[in-house]
Order: sequence, then C-alpha cells, then structure tokens
Amino acid sequence: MAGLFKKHHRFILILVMLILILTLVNLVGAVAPEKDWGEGLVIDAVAPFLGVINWVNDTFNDTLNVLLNYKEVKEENNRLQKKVKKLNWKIHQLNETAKLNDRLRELLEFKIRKPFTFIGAKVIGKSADNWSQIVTINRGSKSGLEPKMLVVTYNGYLVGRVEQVSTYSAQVLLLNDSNFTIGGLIAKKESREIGIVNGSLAETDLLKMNKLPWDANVEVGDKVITSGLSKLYPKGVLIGKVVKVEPEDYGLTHSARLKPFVDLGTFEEVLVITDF
Amino acid sequence: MRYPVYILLILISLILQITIFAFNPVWGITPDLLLITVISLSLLNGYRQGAYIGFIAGILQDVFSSGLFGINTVTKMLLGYIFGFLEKKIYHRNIITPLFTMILATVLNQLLVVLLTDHIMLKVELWNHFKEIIFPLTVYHLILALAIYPTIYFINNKYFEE
Repeated sequence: MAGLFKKHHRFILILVMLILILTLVNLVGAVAPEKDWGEGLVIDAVAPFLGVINWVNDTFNDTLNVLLNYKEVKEENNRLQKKVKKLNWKIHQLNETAKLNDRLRELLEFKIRKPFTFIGAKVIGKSADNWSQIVTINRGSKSGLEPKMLVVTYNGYLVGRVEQVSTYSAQVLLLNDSNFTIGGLIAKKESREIGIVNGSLAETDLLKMNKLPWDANVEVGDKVITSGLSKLYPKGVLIGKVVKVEPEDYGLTHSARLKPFVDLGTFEEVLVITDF
Repeated sequence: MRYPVYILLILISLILQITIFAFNPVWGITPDLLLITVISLSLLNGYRQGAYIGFIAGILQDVFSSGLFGINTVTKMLLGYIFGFLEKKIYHRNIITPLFTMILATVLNQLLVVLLTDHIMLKVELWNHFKEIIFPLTVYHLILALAIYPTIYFINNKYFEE
C-alpha cells in the first residue's frame, strides 16, 4: 500500500486536489446556481455542430421515411389538408366565442387570465451519460431565456425546466432526472392535494409524487398539474397521470407514481414559458 | 500537432454521443463514446497522456450532463491514468486485449460513478439502475470499440509514430 502511494504520489495528490476543488465548485453551485463558470462558452462552442448534425440526421430520416412510405405519406397529406380546412372553420367559430367570452367577463368584472408567452425551440442534443436526463435546446439568453423557466411541449405538457443558459443555447433538466423537483397538485374537483414531484433513477419513465397527506383523496388516473405555490413556476401546467398510489413513511404520508404525458425519449420541439 | 488532433477526436466523440447516439438509443441506453476514445488513446499513449486526455474528456462530458459536476472528470482521469500503464504491456496490433480492457473500463467507470455520487449511493434504485444498464452498456461498448479502437490506432500510427 505504501509502495503504491509512493509510486503514484503525484497523481494521487492531483486527484485529491481535483476532488476537493470539484466539491467546492458543487457547494458554490448549490448556493448560487445561476452562476456561469464558463460552461456557457463550451456549450455555445459545441452547439452549432449539434445543430448541423441534427439537421443532417433529420433530413436523412425524413427523406428515408418519405421514400419508404410514399403512399402513406401522400394519403396522410390529403387527410391533413382536409383537416386543416375543418379546423380553420372551427377557429373562426371559436374566435367569435372568445370575443363573446371577453365581453361577458368584462361585464362581470372578472380578472382576465393572461395567457402564457412562449418561445419555440428545437432539441439539438441530449445528456452525455446514462445517469442524467437533460437536453440542449437551440435558444439562449439572446432569445430571452432565463434559468428556472418551465419547458412544455406543443400540447402544454410539462417537459422540464431551464437550467444552464448560454448566449445561443440552453440546457433543460427533464422531468425524470433525479435532480428535478417541482410542486404538484392533484387536479380534481373533490381533492386539491399538494405533493412534491420528483424524477427517479430506477424507473426513468415514471415520476414520484411524495408527501401527499395520509388521508389524501388520490386515485389511479387522476391528473397532476403544477401547483404554482411558489412565484417561480406558473400554475396549471399538466405534468402526468397517477398510475400507482402507496403509503410511505410508515403510513404518515402517501406517495404516488406518475406517468408523464410526454414521451420523454422522443420529443423534438419544445416551448419555453417566458412569462406567465 | 498531436494534442489538437486528440482534442478534435474527443470533441467528435462528444458531439456524436449527445446527438446521433443519444437520439437513437439502443436498448434504451446511450453509449459512452468518450470513454472508449479515452481508453483507446491512453492505451496507445501511456498513463501521463491518458490522465490529461481523460481530464479534458471528462470535463466536457460534465458540462453536458446534470447532477454532481465533476464526477466524469474524476472517473475519466482516473481510468485514463490506470489503463495508460498497459501501454507497454499489450500488443497493440491485436484487438482482443483492448476489447477486454474496454469491458473492464466500462464496469469500473459505472461503479466509480455510483460510488462517487454520494447523495444517491445509499438508495437502492441506484444499484438497480446500475444492474439494468451495465450489461447492455458493456455489449454496446464492445461493438463500438471494434470500430473506434482501430480508427484511433490508425490515426495514431500514421501521423504520430516516430
């Protein structure tokens, strides 16, 4: 053992120092998470390549898809065109209803709910190891992104939260990462129970909702939305559906397993909620 | 001239790893191309260079993953250093030994990540995850190493053999 140390003392010394420095960096990171130590520069330097590779990959896949399923793509195209016409008509009708709604709200002096403002972004990279779930998107502080903003899909389902922002790109921590935490609310008329939603390492396709009261009225199939109790996150973004409820902490609390509405392995475009 | 090429190799591995290989996972896992590159380079260049290369690759990987910052830096540097000692001991033209070291490196790397991530080490789910991914990951790495090691060997020999 002493011989081993003697032979490699320089490396061991460097390693120990490195670990100490990294521990310090992580501690500082826990206190001031928004500080950028140059990661932004690295991400920005790599991001353009990610964009190019993605473009090549997408074009290749799409072309291959069209070539292989030519007939189906054509049929789908026809079907979609018909649908667009139908939907346009529906939008027109809904606009009228919206106007009516606004007028009535004004009459009743209801507070008009401000819709969220979004920025669209494309996923250009994913996490570099199997222990974390993050994606890199092609919008950054130049487009007005800030850390802690929520990221959703086009149908409004929660995907994750913006973590590291650089000038032209940003990293998004996904729902199912073990470091992800957000306040959740059971969206049911009879019960508005609040719990904490976490990602888990073991089952990456399920989330965990902890600290539900022991007498909580939670059943399989209930929808869970963000609670909006902190000022950081908007209320009412859909997170997932309850698939399992079990007692925890010796029956003092309940915990539920949620299945997110989004398939977290395959989405490609996202919206970032910049204001709410 | 040697180091810019190595850094380029690492960058290419990183970019491929987080785009094409991460978007099309096999058996639900992303391979660690950086690990294969680091081990290949360290087998060919020795422990000192192995540690440097591992450090650079690790810190890049850490920027693109969440959780504890620096975990990959430490593991990659350590593995680069350890496997660099085999430089003089193995026959480089035969691919069998490098492949065996790749298996060992994959298992060691994942074990080190588990051991160093203190805040999740005590959880059972960590070990479950480890057991779930270790076997497919090793097989995947073996297949990829079949392509990557000869490429790096070729580049190393053609341009830097004095």
